[in-house]
Amino acid sequence: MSKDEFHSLDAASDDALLVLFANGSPAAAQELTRRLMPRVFAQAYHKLRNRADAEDVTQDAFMKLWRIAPDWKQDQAKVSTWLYRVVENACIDRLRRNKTSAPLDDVGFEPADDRPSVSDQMQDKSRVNALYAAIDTLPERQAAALRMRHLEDRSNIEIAQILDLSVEAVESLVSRAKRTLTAQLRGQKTALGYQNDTL
Amino acid sequence: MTHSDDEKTFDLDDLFATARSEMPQPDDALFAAILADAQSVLADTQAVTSPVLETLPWYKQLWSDMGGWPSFVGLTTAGLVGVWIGISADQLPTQTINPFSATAELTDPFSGLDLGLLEG
Repeated sequence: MSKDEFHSLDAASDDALLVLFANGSPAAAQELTRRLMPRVFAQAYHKLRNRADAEDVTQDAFMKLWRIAPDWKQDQAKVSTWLYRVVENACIDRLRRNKTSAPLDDVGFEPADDRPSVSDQMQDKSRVNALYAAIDTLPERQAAALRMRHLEDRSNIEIAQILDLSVEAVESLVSRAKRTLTAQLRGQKTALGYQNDTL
Repeated sequence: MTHSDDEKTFDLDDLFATARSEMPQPDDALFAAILADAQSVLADTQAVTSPVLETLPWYKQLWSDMGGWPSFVGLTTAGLVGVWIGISADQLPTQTINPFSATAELTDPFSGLDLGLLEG
């Protein structure tokens, strides 16, 4: 592939890339995967909290995308929004099949090498587990908006498109979710080691 | 709004940042698997939309070029009709009517039918 083609693919919208793929361009699939896979994986991981399951869901979601490509209508949902819903449904199905998500203690952490100590890693782990557990108690839309905003790093505009809400409504959802989380986690402050913490 | 000391030390955004940093990153194997799926879907699609041309042996190709079974049936029927006409030619009237001949007789095929009968 020429350098110009790479640049043109880089500038193309997700929809345009999907149409290009349907017309037989493997390079378009490569660009689309590079662009969307990290976020799809993050969404699945934060929902399932299991790397292998998140990888399966990610691969399945992209397979569905490739198969729907020839019938894709550019005036329908955005590719990222479509993928979000596919992944969300797949995660819900998987959680139902497994009854519960993976035990929080089993969450696989891959701490960076510059972590100061094992005890700090353990403390981070218990705090993050408490965070996930608290998110699970939120109403569904609050939890979804919060995960997208603060764990998947999506913009409020994108979240609004996905949830079919106004940006103001998204801000309100996230704000309420954060207040609830703060109240819940403050109650576990001692258990989470915050009493002597100077964060 | 007043904040307690707890709120000052407890930072939710830091906790989100920790959660993000602890998340494993998707690896190259997943990337490769997704692209392999894309290739297989492309291959399937192309196989459906562009079937491989079948190479026929010469006699089948000739048969096809001549029109195949429909052509054969039509030709056979026409031939049989020709034979039938040939065989039954003796039974056909030999006298032909010449419209330009002064000797031709015009006969009324309904000579027994009186117009008076039609009038009731």
